[in-house]
Amino acid sequence: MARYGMVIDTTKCIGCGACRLACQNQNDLLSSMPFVKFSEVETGVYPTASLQVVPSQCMHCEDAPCQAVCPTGATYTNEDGIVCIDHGRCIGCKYCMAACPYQARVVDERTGAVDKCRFCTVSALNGTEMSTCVTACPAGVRVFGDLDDPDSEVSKVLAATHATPLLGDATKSKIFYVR
Amino acid sequence: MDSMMTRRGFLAAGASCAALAAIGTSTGCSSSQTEPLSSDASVTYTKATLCAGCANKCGIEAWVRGGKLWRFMGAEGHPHSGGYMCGRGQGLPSLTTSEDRVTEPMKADGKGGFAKVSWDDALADIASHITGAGSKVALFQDGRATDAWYAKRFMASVGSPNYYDDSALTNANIDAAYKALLGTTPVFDTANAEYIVLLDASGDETVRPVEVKEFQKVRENGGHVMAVDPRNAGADMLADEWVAVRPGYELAFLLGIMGDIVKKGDFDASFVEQYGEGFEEFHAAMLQYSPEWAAEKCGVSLDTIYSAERGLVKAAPHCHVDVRPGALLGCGYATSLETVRCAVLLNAMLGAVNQTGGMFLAKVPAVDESVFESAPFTKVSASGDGIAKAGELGNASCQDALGAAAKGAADVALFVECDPAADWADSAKVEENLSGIGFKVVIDSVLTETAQKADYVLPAATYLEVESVVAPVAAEWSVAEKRNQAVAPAGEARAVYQIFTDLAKACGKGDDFAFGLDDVNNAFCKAYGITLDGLNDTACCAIPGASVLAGDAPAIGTDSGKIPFASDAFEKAGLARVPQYADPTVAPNDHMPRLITGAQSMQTRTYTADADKIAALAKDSGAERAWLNPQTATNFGIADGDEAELSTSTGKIRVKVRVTSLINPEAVYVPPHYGIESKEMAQAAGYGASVWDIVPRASDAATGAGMVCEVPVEIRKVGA
Repeated sequence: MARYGMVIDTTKCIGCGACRLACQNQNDLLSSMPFVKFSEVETGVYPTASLQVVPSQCMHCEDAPCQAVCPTGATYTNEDGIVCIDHGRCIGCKYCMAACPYQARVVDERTGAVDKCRFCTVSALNGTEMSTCVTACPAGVRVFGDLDDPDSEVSKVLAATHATPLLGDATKSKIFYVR
Repeated sequence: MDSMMTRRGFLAAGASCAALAAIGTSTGCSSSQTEPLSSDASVTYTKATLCAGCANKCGIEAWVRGGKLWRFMGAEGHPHSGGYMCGRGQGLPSLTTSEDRVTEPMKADGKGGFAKVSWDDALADIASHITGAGSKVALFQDGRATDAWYAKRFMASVGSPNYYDDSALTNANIDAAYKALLGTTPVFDTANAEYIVLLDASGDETVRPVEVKEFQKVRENGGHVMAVDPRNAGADMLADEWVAVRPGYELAFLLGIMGDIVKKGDFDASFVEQYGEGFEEFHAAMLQYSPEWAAEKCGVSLDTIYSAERGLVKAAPHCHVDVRPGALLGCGYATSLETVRCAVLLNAMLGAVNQTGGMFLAKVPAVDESVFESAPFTKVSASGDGIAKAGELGNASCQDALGAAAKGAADVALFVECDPAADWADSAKVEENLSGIGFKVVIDSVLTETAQKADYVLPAATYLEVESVVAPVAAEWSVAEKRNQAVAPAGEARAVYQIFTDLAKACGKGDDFAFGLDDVNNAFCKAYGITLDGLNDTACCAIPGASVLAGDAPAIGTDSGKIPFASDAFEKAGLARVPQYADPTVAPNDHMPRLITGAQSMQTRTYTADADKIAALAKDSGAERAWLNPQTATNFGIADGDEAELSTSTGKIRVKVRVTSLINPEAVYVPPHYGIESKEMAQAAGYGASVWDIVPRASDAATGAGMVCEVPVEIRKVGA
């Protein structure tokens, strides 16, 4: 068992969108199904202003509001801490979409089921070729791995950067941000 | 399921470029896994090929699963990708599977629509018009094309000198300056630089994927990147600081630094003596410029100008001014050519040529047409002057040629994967010009705005469906590259090179095209000292002997073999022999700002706008908005999200406004790839406004560049 998580270093992100679009290709998603979304945060005043691009996706929360409101149990957390959706059990009620504070969920128009980031990049850990938000990023913005393994890269980066979740402890997110 | 070769295995595979094995190395791209074009759902294969998202044509690997395109990664061995792709590259493949594709030849029905027609009938009718027009045929092609060799040969074969690419609207000034000053293409050693002045990166937000980590490395090494740009975007985000220069006054910024370096004697006297010419004349002229003078002109603080000067001088020769391509330096201002000249000469006077962290002069072997004059090739050439006059330093402007064609200089025009109606300055004038040309053929993969006005539309296969002509890529170790076919063409679509071959035969010029693509590519490969089998496998291979190492004597390709600090060529073009300050044509202020534009990171002209995933990202990002500085917005009573009317001498548009401190108050930025009216481009149609509706047509006398940012803009809040 692992407890998978991610560090996103927004100081490296240039907002090129490669993560979002690679994810859509890798996971055969429609254009209306971005698992990765971007917020732009402008800081400073002219002429020293700068732009911070903040990518967001399913945070695989340990206290997941989406899971709590799902009436069919379609949303569940697997043994590795990845929040999953059993698409066969999803009735498309969208309660989970309303509950998610990160607006990370989208509807698959082909099936009516809700979908979101699957932490598919976990498969890349064993060397499988993957084109994911982690492996496709030209800036090395994301680091993924087992948060319970002190020797994992993600644990080391987290310790070194003191990255924090977007909403603090609100949902016990497993994605941490360097900003 | 997968039996793919990993992209990490490219080094071994790259050795299939046999000539490289002889020199014991390879920078080939990843190898294809060869089960090509299978439709078996259980089969997955990869194809090493080239992206088409911009002129960089990054090496990529396309994964195909069950005969359908699946996913994509950058090729590690390509000098522009370094193993990654940008977002645009990741999103572009959906053009290939788009429902908007034109998949069969179509003929205008005279009622505003099109009817399907056979290839044979289309080619026969088009050929009859071409042969009937004699030399009065013009061809316009996107500068990113990988079939230009065929297009040019076709035009020569039918006796017309009228081939025009669209460099006037991209990088005409940069190309001209490099040719006149260096005789080759420079590449910048970003990763190892100690100090970089990044000039006008927002003119094209494209960042080569390989560059991202290179800029990061500068910072890791303790170096410094100063972005000098009227807008903070694209590669500027990788800089340590942004200097918001007045738009159009970048020239003053550089001259101020150059003047002070000359005054203090901080230039590399040894380098300029050995590799330069005319330096004394240049030296005397530069003394009139100072940082104080520059600060007044360009709106940058004196401290910042001195900081840049000190940074460069202290780091020299491990430093450079990085000339970024696109709509500011490439074709933006009346002073862009002079600005690029200064950037190149500043690098040279610092001795930062072929030095670690400096500007490397790439060795790209020249392959001339003499390679194609013996069997199976025939010698073809078109004599006479073209319908548009070339400047002394550059090519003829495609815009001038279109205007001349409309006035009767051409009876037939072919538009090859380019869309003047949506992408060229002064949309109304372009439409008028197109109406004035008697017979028009568009070769493209979607029904563009130009296609809507054509007599015939011939369906082009997309970049993932075709092979290409071999071409060189300038790099510290220059490579040859070739596009490889990942999937079969949709419907009846054909590769552009095939269309020209077929059209030549229909024109009775089959003897000039009695060869296959492999014959062409083998000739190029032989000239470069590589093998076609290798390129078919890996898409790019290092050219033996085409490497430049730090400390190598610069291979300057000018006639004299020197870098002309005082230039006869510039003088012949009507410019001063030495760099000279001139104000830009437009004097902007925060009540009448200057229009600036530049491709966004996700788009290349309207060509990428119909890719559905890119279109969705653009809409989610509000990418169609015009940028205004808060001070400027306040002057017009405009708040973030308001709609504004932008007016110029050419036209008016209405756009939503993004109020942002990321732009100089004297500039208004409008993106160049929206406002598409063709309803057959369903993903893009109706989103945003076209900047080209308000940009007047212009042409730099020396280079043909469109000077697309020499435009003052009146602004009014809609509804006020």
